[in-house]
Order: sequence, then structure tokens, then C-alpha cells
Amino acid sequence: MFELISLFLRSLSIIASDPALGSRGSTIKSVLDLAALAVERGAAGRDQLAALHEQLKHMVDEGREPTPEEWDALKARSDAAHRTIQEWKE
Amino acid sequence: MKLSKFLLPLLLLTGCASNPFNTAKTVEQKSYALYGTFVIVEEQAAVLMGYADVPASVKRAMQRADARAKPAADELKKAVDAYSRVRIGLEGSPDDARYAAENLSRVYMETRPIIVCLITIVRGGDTSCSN
Repeated sequence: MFELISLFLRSLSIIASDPALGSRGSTIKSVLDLAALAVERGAAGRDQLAALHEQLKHMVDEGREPTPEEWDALKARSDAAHRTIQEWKE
Repeated sequence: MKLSKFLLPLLLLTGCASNPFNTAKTVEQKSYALYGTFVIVEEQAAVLMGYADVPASVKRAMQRADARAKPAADELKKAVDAYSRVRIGLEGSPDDARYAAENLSRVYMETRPIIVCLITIVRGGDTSCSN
């Protein structure tokens, strides 16, 4: 569903980028692009949270704690994301 | 236009379908849920840093919040490591076990608001927590 909403917003954005609409069209395009971005990122985060939720459900069902390998996998992902964020410059 | 006011309702709508914190039972599982949520949000922030549409002020706030959250999250992982080693009997006395448990609880409570700040910004909320 979120893919469809995003596609719809991106389509409207393309229409709004028509030069005939002038500066107002440009503003509308920015708003629509941001809306599509929000939907896309929100949907991605929701899926990842659902996966983490499932993983924890299995842990609880199996009566076990997270393993060192599971921790290390998370930390490796965090290290990579952290590098990308901190490398950004204006 | 303020990105934060714009994104907040959408991201809250799409980002809260599952709550790992409600599922976790033990302090180690809760710590894993917190660290895992942090990683997901941190990865989202990393993607957003590459978008030209996201204002520089929001990117700066995400960068500041991540600079604070990352060492705090890694400290949480270290506290879990120490607690796990005592729990499975690799090392330590009963006093060590109590200290490790208390330390993990303390680090967890201290880390949570720092990570929540990054979550708030990535979800389009108030960026002032990063100042």
C-alpha cells in the first residue's frame, strides 16, 4: 500500500514540475517529494521494526538471550550507518 | 516549510506498526530491542543524509544526535557483554553479578532518552533535543 501512495505522490510531483505552473508548481513539487520520501522511509522503518519484533518474539518463545553473533551483526550495521552520517558535510 | 511538522504525522503513521519493547522480557532482550531500534533509525538517518530534499538543519541535528547516541548505544552493548559473562558463569562473584545487573539497568536508563532523541528527529519531530 505504501508503495502505491509513494508512486502516486511521485506522479503528482512530476505533474507539478511542469514549468507552466511557475514557482507555485515548484513549491508543490517539493512538498510532494518530501511526502513521498516520508512514506518510503516510514514504510522501510516499519518493515525493519517488524523484523526486529519477530526476532525478539522467537527469542522469548525459545527462552533465550540474544547471542554475541546477533549483537555483533547489529553493531556492524550501526558502525556503517554511523560512518555515513558523520561523513556528511554541508 | 518545516520538514519536521510535515513528516511527523506520516512517519508516526507508518513507523509504529510493531513495538519490539513490548515483546522483550529480560533486561538483555530489552537492551537488544533498544539497540536494534537505534540501528534501524540510524540506518534511516544515513539514507536521509543523501537526500537533497532534507534540509541541512535537519541533517545537522541528525548528525549531532547520532554523535551522542552512538557511544551511548555502544556503552549499552558493553554493559550487556559484562552482564552476560557473569550470568553464564564465565567470570565473577555474586557481588560482581549484582554490580553487572545494576550497571546494565543504569546504562539502559541513561541510553534510552539519548536514542529517543535520534528517533524523534528521524521521525520528523523536534530537533532541539540534539542541541
